[in-house]
Amino acid sequence: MTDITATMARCEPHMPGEPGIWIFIMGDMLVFALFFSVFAFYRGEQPALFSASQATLNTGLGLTNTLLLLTSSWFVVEAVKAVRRGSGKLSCRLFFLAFLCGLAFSGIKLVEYNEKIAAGITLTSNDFFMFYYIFTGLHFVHVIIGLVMLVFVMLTLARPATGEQKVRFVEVGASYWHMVDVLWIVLFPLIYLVK
Amino acid sequence: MKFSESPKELIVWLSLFALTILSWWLGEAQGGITGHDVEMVTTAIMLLGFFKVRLVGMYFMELRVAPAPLRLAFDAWVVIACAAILLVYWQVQLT
Repeated sequence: MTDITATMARCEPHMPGEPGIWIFIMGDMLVFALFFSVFAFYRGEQPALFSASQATLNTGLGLTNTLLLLTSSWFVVEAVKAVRRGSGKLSCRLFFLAFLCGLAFSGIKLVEYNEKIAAGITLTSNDFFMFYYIFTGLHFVHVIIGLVMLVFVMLTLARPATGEQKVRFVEVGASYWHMVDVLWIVLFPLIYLVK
Repeated sequence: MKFSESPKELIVWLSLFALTILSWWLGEAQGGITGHDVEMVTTAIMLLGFFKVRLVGMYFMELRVAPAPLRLAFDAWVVIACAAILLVYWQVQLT
């Protein structure tokens, strides 16, 4: 049993990963909270334009992507549990499944952008699409960084070494990936569903 | 507390899945309603969204067993972000 599992077994507070990643996560989430408010404000300024533009979005793809990220997050949860039990191999496989979900999310996002660009809708079309491209685009950058992190987590798990250091690194990657999920959970209804 | 043998996270994932489909369905159903009903549905969709965020935070990010300051910071974010969106939204609808 690793130290972390022992700590959790004693029901003592446990911070996944390390303080640094949580400062980054909370900071990033604050920036996105500002984005959400800005979007809500501009939506109020031009409700008709925002509604008409939103109606052209493919909500089915948005829904699928939300379900993909939720599923990938669950794989990550199981992967973290596996590494704490000492099953590095199983953990690595679960991280790979999470990675595939993230990859599918990215593929769908590209299809969606392609659909819009093919229809002549770009960043400069109107305020709604400016925010749509900037906010979903910035989130997409987070997904790509998350996917790279998942690769590093899998490489770490592939090494034979065990110990608290390894578990901590896995937790850092997991916490970041969950944040990517959290941001999309708000972006999806805000951009695609709010009328 | 044995995390490895708990199906809790599976139940959370299933709930998140169901709530996501529910909010999508609510979003689609908005086409058939008018007046303040639309705003009520939008509010419900955003509240559901932030409830899902909290589920991910507490169970997937393990904040329910994290040190209190971290857990409170996350909860504060949920409340502030949700309130900011809804206040701006309602302020516009009512003026």
